[in-house]
Amino acid sequence: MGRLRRCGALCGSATKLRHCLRWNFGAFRSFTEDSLVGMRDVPTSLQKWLPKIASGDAIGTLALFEGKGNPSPKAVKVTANGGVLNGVKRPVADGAIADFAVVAARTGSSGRESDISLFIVDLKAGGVEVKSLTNIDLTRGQAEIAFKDAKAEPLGAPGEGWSVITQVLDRAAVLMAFEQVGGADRALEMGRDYALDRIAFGRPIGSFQAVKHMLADMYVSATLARSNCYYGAWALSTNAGELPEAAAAARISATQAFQHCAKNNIQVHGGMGFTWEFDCHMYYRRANAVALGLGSLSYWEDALIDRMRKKNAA
Amino acid sequence: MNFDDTPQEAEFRSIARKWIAANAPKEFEEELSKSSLGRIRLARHDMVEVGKAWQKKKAEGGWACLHWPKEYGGRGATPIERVIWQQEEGVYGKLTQPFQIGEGMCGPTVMAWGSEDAKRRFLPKLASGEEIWCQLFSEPSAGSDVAGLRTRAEKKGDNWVVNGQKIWTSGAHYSDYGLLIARTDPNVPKHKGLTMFFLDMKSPGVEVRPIKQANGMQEFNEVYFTDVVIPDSQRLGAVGEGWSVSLTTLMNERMSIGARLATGVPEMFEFCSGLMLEDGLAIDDPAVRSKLASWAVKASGLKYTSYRAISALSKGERPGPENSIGKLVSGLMLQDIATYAMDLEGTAGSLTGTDEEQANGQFQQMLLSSPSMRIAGGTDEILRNIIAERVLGLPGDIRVDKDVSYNKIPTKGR
Ligand SMILES: Cc1cc2nc3c(=O)[nH]c(=O)nc-3n(C[C@H](O)[C@H](O)[C@H](O)COP(=O)(O)OP(=O)(O)OC[C@H]3O[C@@H](n4cnc5c(N)ncnc54)[C@H](O)[C@@H]3O)c2cc1C
Repeated sequence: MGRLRRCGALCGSATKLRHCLRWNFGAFRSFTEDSLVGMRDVPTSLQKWLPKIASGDAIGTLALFEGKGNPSPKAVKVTANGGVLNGVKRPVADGAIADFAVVAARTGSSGRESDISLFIVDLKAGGVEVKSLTNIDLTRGQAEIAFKDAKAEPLGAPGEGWSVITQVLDRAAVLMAFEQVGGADRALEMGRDYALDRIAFGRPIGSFQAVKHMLADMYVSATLARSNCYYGAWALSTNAGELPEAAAAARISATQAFQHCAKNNIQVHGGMGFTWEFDCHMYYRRANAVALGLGSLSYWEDALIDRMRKKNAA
Repeated sequence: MNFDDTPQEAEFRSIARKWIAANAPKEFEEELSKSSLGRIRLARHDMVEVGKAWQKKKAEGGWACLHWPKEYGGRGATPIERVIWQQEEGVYGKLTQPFQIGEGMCGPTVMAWGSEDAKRRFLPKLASGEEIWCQLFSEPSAGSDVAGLRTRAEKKGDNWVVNGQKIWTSGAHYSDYGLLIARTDPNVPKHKGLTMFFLDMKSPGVEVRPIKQANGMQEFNEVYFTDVVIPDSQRLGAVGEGWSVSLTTLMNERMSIGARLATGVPEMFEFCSGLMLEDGLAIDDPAVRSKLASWAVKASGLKYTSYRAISALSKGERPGPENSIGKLVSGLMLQDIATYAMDLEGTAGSLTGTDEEQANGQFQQMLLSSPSMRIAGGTDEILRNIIAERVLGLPGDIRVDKDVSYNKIPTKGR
């Protein structure tokens, strides 16, 4: 599937949470795959996985984080030595159902980005221990993966890991942003529908300005996010030099929009919005989990400002 | 959507760029680039005169109202070419402020509802800036509720005789013509008794009185009408159809305001990049970065939303209510940015004297001017109502005046 079509599909499936096994894996798989397929020469370590990814027989994930904090080469402590990995990654999205992981590991100690290299690990092989973690989003699992002399094959050139990770995160940010916009739109639609249906004081609650204005503001943030995402999708599909800035803008805007719409959707629903039964909380959970999935808002805000500065200086 | 110029667009851009480089009034470039918000004042020159000279030159070169048909003073350019022109015109675009109401609202209304004679007589001069137009809609008792207006127009033979008062009329003091909405029948519900006209602002019985604004400037006015005679040939649309005609004006208002919207973000970015705080540059401070990033993505979101609208427009779609978001987002953002920029300056942020001015006092001016952005051309609350009702399909407000004939609607004075 072309990248533009994939953006559309992610956005669309995110609007239908109820049918959404696909949504669970959609963005995450997309970005792992995107990063792999995006590599210049397909390394041999990857060749055996590609057909299985394509046929849906294998699920891949990216093992980057090691506890609290945002993406940073300094935070990578897992070591790679003599073809084996040691250390613990957490949280790893879809880690408990994944067949293999792309793992960022430390191969040097100079304090520079070039200390980080990428590896592929078969998660069903020896030396790998996977443990499910609980998280606020009940529809997308997170796991801890411990490596004890786990066999790992290098992915790409040694020392280039971090620059690949940065590109992967940018690409993933655009794809995820579409998922977020889809979620924001659906939360807005649910709120609107409920406001038309629910009667209080003898009239639909959607005729009260406080409710109308809340929904109008949700529309505004979802619209701004969608526009930023289109720009991001254009940059992604054309490999434009603007991608890093466009990706950060799409990510920030979509994160804010989804959080804003999901929380106000609960507000519009009143007590009903706080029930387990209604879907509102699923969107609220997903909005807030996905907001952290690729590094938190502050990470992306930092990235955007750095990138805008670089552009202004040029 | 494609964000790169096509070869034709690139060529158009390069022609525009060359023409601007050869013709723009460069002596004002510096001063213009430092004034934000589009509410500009030139230190030693009259803004309107400088603006007229630039507009005239543009008209001669075929760059004025370029999206209009050639026979009405335009260039027959596509909506995208118009955007390219606006990007290239850059800071000189600020000089178009006195013409924006004419070009953005009155012109399109005349184009949609005027006779062929009227279009050929008035539009080219409006486009070239030779004649400036203003919008005579709001009244003391009718702003958001503009359909509640009281100014009367009564038919006398082939003419109409107008009595009443308008208020907040931007640029009335330098305008040659005005687009006027008046009540022609007080015995029917309020939206049904209105008719649209245009008139010569020098007509006997028109009196323009300036009003000093909260920001200290004087751009809007009261306009009084005492037995002002308007020929029936200057009516736009049928008698009683004024409300529909006004919707053309207001729809275009949203579009034109959207096109050149100031957000304050580039100014703020530059300011933070240069401002030294105790611990280093403001732009290196995490709190500053976080705010800047949130504003930046709003500004880019608005930009690409307007591109989407333009691309819809070039496919022949009409500008819809969704375009209300531009002003709604940028008005409040300007106000927030100004407040935060001054906060970063500390106590001295309140100073406006020339010795004290940082960043040329532009944020202080932005602070004082930005409230108007949230009021003029539809208040924030009215825009939210529009989005809620016309985009999201929520019910309209409960109206106590809806089916009552105009002269039975309760008012403060009646
Ligand atoms: C700088 C400036 C330039 C202007 N230029 C022009 C011009 O050239 N020509 C022209 O015709 N007019 C012009 N106006 C007038 C402008 O369109 C009106 O001021 C505006 O529509 C608001 O009307 P009002 O001032 O009567 O306020 P009101 O309508 O009295 O509003 C007061 C408050 O009540 C709120 N409110 C009113 N109705 C509702 C509602 N239904 N739901 C929720 N809240 C509501 C408003 O949002 C606002 O907060 C200009 C105004 C300004 C500030």
